[in-house]
Amino acid sequence: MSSAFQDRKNVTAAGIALAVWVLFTIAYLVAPLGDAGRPWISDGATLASSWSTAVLAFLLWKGYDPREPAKRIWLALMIGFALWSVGETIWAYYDILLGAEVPFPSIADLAWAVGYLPLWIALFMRYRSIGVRGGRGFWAALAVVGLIGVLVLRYILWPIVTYPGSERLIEKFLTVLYPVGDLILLLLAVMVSIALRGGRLSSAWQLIAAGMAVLGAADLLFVYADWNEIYITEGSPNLITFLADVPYVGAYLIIAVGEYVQARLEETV
Amino acid sequence: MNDAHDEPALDRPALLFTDERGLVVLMEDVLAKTLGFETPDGALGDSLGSVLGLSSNEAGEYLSEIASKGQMTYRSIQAVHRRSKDSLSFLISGTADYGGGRFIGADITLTPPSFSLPSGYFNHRAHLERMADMVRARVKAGSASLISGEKELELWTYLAARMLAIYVLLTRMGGRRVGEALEERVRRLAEKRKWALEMRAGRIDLHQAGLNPEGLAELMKEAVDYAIKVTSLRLVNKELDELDSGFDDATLQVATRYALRS
Repeated sequence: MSSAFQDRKNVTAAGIALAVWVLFTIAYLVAPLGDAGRPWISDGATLASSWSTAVLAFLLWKGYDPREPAKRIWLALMIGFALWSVGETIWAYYDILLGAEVPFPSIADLAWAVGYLPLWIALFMRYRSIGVRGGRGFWAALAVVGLIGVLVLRYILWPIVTYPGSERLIEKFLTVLYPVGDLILLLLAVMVSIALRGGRLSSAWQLIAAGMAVLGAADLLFVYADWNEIYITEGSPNLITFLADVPYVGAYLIIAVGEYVQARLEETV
Repeated sequence: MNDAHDEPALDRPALLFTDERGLVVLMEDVLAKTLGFETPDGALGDSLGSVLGLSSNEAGEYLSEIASKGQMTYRSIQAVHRRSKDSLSFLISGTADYGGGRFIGADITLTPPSFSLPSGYFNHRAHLERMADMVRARVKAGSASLISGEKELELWTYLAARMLAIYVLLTRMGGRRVGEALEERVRRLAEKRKWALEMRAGRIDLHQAGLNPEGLAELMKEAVDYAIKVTSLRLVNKELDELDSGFDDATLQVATRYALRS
C-alpha cells in the first residue's frame, strides 16, 4: 500500500481525507453547535464521504473504453456506491429535516440493501478478470474472513435471529444482511488485492479492502448497539455510538482514497 | 574485471527489469549467465541487491534515484558472482518505466566498463527496442529458426517481443502471479491448438515449425486481451506502441496484415 504514497497527489488526497475525518471526529465529540447540531455534522460528513465514492467511481467508469471489462466493473461499482449514497441521503433527510426517529425498515434500507448486489458483482468480476488461481494468500484470507463470519454469526447475529420477540421478518433479514453483505464485500476486495499482490495495481484495492473492513466493523457495532438499545440518536453519544458512527465516515473516505489512487493510475484524475 | 572464468564475460550492455519494489521481473540470458545463475528464471522475484550481490542500502539508493529522478546515469559497482563469489565490475545505469504516469519499475542496464553507451540510450523506449533485439538474437539462435524465410522470422520475432513486453507490464502492474497467469493462458491455448510452444518467464519458445500467421494472431490476441483485462487498454497500447519503434515499417505492415497489431 505504501507504494501508492510515492505519488505526491495520492499523499495529498490521503491527507485531505485524514484531515476531514479528524475534523469530523473533533466536531462530533465537541458538538460546537450543541447536541441539536450533532446530526448535521454526522450526516453532513457521511453524505460528503459517501457521495465522493460514487463520484470517483463515475469518473473511473467514464475514463475507460467501452471495449474494456473495467468499464463494466466500474459501472457496477458506481451504481452500488450511488445507491448507498442515496440511502445515506434519505437517512439524513429523516434524521435532520423531519427530526423524527428514522423508521426501520425505510426506503434508505431498500437503497442500501439493493446497493450490495452491484458491489458484489463488480468485485467478483474484477477478481475473475485477473484470472489468478487461489494460492496460500487466498485460502488464508478465506479462512480469516470465514472465522470472523462464524464469530459474528454465533455471538451477534444468532441471538438476534432466534430472539422470540415481535421483530418482523424483514427487520431480522436486514439486520443480518448488512454485516453479512459487508463480510462478502470484504472477502471479495481482499481476494482482488491478493491476486494483484506485488503489483502497482494492488495498492488501490488494498485501500478499498481496508475501507470495506472498517465499514463492516462499523456496521456490526451499529447492529449490536441498536439491537441492545444502546445506540444513541439524540444527545451526547456513548462509546459504542461513537465507535459505530466515526469509523463509518472513515470507511467511505478510505474507499474514496483507494478509488483516487486507481484513478491516478489510469490518469482519469 | 570478470574473474569467473567459467562464465561468459559481458561484452555489451545487458538489461534487467525490476518492478516498483526492485524485484527482478526479467533479465537477459547473457547477464544471468555472467552473474552465475543456472537459468535466466533463477533471478525472478529476487531483489536487485541480492541478484547483483550488492547491499540492500546500495541497491535501494539506485532504485530511489531512478524512481525519483526518472533516470540514473553511470555508477561503478562491484557485483558478486553467485557461485564463485568473484567480483565483477560493471557500470550500472537505469531509467524509470511509468504506467499511467506512475513509477512501475526500473529498466537497469549493466555495462562492461570499457563499453560506452550511445547518446539517447536512457529511456524506456530505447530499452524496449533493445528488448526486441534481444528476442531477435534469441530467435535466430534458437529452435524457431526452423521457420522458413526472413519475413516469417521477423514476424515471429515481433510476436515474441510483444509477448515479453506484455509479460513485463503485467508483472509490474499486477505482480508475479499475474505474469504466471499469462504463461498459464498461453500454455492452455498451445495445448488446445496442439502447438509445440511454451512461455517461461515471459519468453516464448517454439519447439518446432508450423505455427501459421493465424496462430500467431490468436496467441497475440489472447495475451493482449488478458493484459487489457488486468490493466487497461491505455496502458497496454502505450507499452506496445513504444515497442513498435524497435521494428521497421515493413515488419509493422506485415504484422498489421496478419493481425498481430491493430
